Amino acid sequence: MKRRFGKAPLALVSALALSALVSLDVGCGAPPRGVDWNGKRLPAIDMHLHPGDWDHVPEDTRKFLASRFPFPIGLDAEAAAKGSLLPESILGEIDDAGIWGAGLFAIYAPRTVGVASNELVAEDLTFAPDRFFGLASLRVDRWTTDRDAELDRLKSTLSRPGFVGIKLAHAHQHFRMDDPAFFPIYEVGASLGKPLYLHTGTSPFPGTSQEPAYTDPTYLETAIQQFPAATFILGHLGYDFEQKRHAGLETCIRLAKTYPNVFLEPSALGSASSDPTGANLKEAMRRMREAGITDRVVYGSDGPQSPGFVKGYLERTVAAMKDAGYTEQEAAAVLAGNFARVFGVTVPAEAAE
Amino acid sequence: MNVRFGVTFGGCVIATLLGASEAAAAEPRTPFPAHAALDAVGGSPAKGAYVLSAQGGWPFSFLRAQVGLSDRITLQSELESAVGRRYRPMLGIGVRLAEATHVRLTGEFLAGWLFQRSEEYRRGPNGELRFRLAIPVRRFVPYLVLGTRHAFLPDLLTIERASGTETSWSLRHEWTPWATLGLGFAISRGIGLDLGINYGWVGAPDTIALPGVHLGLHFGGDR
Repeated sequence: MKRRFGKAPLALVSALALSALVSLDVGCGAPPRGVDWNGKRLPAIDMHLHPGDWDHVPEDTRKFLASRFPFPIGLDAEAAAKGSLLPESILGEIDDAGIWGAGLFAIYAPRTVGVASNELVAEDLTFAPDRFFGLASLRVDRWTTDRDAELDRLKSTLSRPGFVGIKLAHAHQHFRMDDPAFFPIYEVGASLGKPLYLHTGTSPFPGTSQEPAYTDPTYLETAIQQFPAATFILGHLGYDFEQKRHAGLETCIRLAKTYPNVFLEPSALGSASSDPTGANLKEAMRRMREAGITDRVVYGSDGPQSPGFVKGYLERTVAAMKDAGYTEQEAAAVLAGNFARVFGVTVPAEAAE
Repeated sequence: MNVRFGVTFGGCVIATLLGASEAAAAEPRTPFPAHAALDAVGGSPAKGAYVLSAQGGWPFSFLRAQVGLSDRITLQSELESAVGRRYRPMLGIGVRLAEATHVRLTGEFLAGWLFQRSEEYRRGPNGELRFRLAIPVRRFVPYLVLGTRHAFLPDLLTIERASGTETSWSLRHEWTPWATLGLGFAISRGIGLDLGINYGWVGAPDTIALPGVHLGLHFGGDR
């Protein structure tokens, strides 16, 4: 007994040392690039990631975001968010997931999700110019007076290196999808050959315009018809994030089948919080394949959200594709090929090795 | 600040342990009929006995005092902190439900207030019902704590309209199922340690919570 007791301090010191060691990041190198698909590695690009500035996020949205972090990370959401929104953190997240490239979104929605300016995105693009692709945006809340200036600023931003497209969110920016006053934005996209990414569906963020004219992709059909040279990427497949169910999936599929300038992006709807059972993402991937439009699906996650989200979402999507019987060619198109084609990006060989 | 606290706390634990080893050699060999580690992790010290506990860890840390009012009933107070941003000062009673040579089962009920300083301020009354099962074997005390916590968070909503200001109150319920699995160790009858893994699912079932660990130091006496 005495001997055993004499070893107790040593055991405690060892335990403390062990706990200190496990808290250190002792990773054994970066994981391999690409997604494992039956033994073959396929390159992956996540077209939907948000850099940002916590100071420009409205208070109610900060609370919402804090509630999405795992406890106790959300207790100091500012530190967690500021860290995760940095370009080096985003690069770390996609590296952990084996993802080669990422689309970084600018957004001007000061009353809902906040502001991530074109300038901030331009600065972040310089961090990994070969792997980050910028989507510019513009303010629309003073459209009657600032329209021309905003459109000029958008064109100017799109001429900068690394900007490949335009990001809009009618529901967060409070303008109708069918309002012709805003059609000049689509015209910019068409004339410059820059695809437009559009948030469709409701949104969990406080202050969102949830009415159908802001969320239902049906309301985009006029613009899609009127601007055949513009490429429309319908984000989130019209998902109802309030009720956590599909709402616009069939409309999105119909639009993609009807119009060659429509693409679909299944981000966020399959997250653990928006699709707890995983059934909705599986259904979406299955329905798109059944409709024969896998050449129109562009992968995105809507990260970084919280550490590990980017990787987790990719895994869920790949599992959903395997469950739906995607072929290697179809999976490769969804994960990177369609993005490369739509945005005119060359995917290097090292994107999957 | 929390890291500094953890380092300091860990240092104190090591120093106490090393310093106590000589004194402990003079203690009776084993088993102790009751000791600070058992009273701390198993709950319900005997009448007139007390135990003071400090458990430091991530994300939860605790300060706890228990004093036996009778051989079955204990008065206890507790202050819990989560990463220095969420505090729960609590007062309650413990009842020894069962005891045998190698088993002690205690039920505890505590009530108090929750203070959370974060993006979302949370304040409101808070209560907890928990059970402690301890299995003392010589100087070691493996233990399990299972609890259910309920906080009621009042919200005041004010809407300012041209026609006047409307205010309304609403109440939210925050549920936290709790589990701790740990191992206590008696250095002497009056000094003990414990190491435990905690899982407090704050805001269940709509949230995700990370598990945590703690290291505790316990002092008891007056038996």
